[in-house]
Amino acid sequence: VISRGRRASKATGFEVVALPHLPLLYRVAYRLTGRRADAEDLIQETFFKAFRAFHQFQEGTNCKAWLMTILRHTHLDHVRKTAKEPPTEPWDEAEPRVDGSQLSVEQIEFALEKALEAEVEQALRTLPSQQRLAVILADLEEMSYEEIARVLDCPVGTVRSRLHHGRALLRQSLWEFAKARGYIKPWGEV
Amino acid sequence: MMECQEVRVYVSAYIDHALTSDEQEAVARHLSACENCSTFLALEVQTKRLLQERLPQPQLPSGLHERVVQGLAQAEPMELEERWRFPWWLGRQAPILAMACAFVLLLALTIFYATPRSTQASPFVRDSVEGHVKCLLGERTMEVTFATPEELARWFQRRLNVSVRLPRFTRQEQSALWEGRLSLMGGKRAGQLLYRWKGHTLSLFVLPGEKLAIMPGEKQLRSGRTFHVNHHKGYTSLMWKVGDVTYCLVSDLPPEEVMTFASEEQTSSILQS
Repeated sequence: VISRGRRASKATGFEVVALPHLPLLYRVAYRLTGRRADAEDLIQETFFKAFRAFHQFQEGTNCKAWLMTILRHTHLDHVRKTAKEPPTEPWDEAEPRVDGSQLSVEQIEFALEKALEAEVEQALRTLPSQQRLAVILADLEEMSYEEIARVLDCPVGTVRSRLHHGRALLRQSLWEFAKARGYIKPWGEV
Repeated sequence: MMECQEVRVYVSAYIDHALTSDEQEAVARHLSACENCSTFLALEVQTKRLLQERLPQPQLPSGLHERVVQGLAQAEPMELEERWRFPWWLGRQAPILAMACAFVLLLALTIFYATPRSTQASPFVRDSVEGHVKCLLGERTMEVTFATPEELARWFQRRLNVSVRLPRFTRQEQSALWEGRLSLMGGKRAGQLLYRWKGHTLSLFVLPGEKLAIMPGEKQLRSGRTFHVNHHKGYTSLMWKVGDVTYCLVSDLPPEEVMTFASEEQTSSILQS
């Protein structure tokens, strides 16, 4: 039986090693879910799971990536539970229909300039979850590709392609928003 | 020079300084010469900047830290219970139960190790069975077809650099054709030919030279010849030696029948090419 002392030292260890990453994890959770309440739930569950599995964490390894992996799994579980139908195809590997080369650069640049916060948020949220997480971790949290690969449990090359496709999909969504709002005329004028 | 399509993925990583120095150099070289990719680079930079500028980083909601810590306090007793509490209903029977478990485990291990394992097959047995199955499935086809075994033997001789004897078995169906191919067994070159009997196909592998010093499998004597019987993936692999040549007959027939088939050769048709 674990003594009180060991239990206390485990809690202290967790507080010192894991809890400092709370703000970062919350930011990522917020960007993943898009809602404060959902992000809080996700965080609570992530830390709960992490604490219970803390004996599996190897001291001296990357705690940030370890926590982020638990967050990713927990989020995926949530998505699967709430989704009416399970995704049937490898939706996380979606490639943009338009890679930008078919659109005029001026149009895209203009669309990006005009993009509102809400639109960027929405564009990010419509990305397939693995691409979304890759973009969040690389562009918003400036994590290294090696760390992201550990979180996504994939090779670094896959991180590269997920980011590449993710950003292209983002541009495409923003271009479509701009077109819908009438900033970009169908015949190509700005 | 890299192709533009190929470069684009690297350009995305280039702006994050996430390339090796070689890749970084190659991309830089391409960018300096390619206007389209330079434009793409600018778009990537703009996209990354857009995300950082338009999406303000959310602040940690007040009280969340405390709520998380409170949540952990609830996690503790549950974890202790799950990990350490012995089920009450086992109570005093625990030692007996532990002994019974140990006994069952020992028995299982004994059975496990006493049973011959097809997965531990020698590479020769494994290759012969796999080669046979691939031919049956049509994944491998015979390379040559001859009307007589002499011709096939000569074809093998040119490729294996030794003369081989192709047995003509008494029970084999008199097929008009002698089909053969070169195969590998345990990394060595071997000839493979097909026989037919009772609607089954049997592959004979002919491995020349003293390459197989110790033959795997259970020894069985039949008609004055020592056969080595192996099983792998539900197939029988029967090996025997004549002089320097190792023969290996593979079939889905039971070992007894394969041995019956292999033990009776037409002595008159032994071929020495």
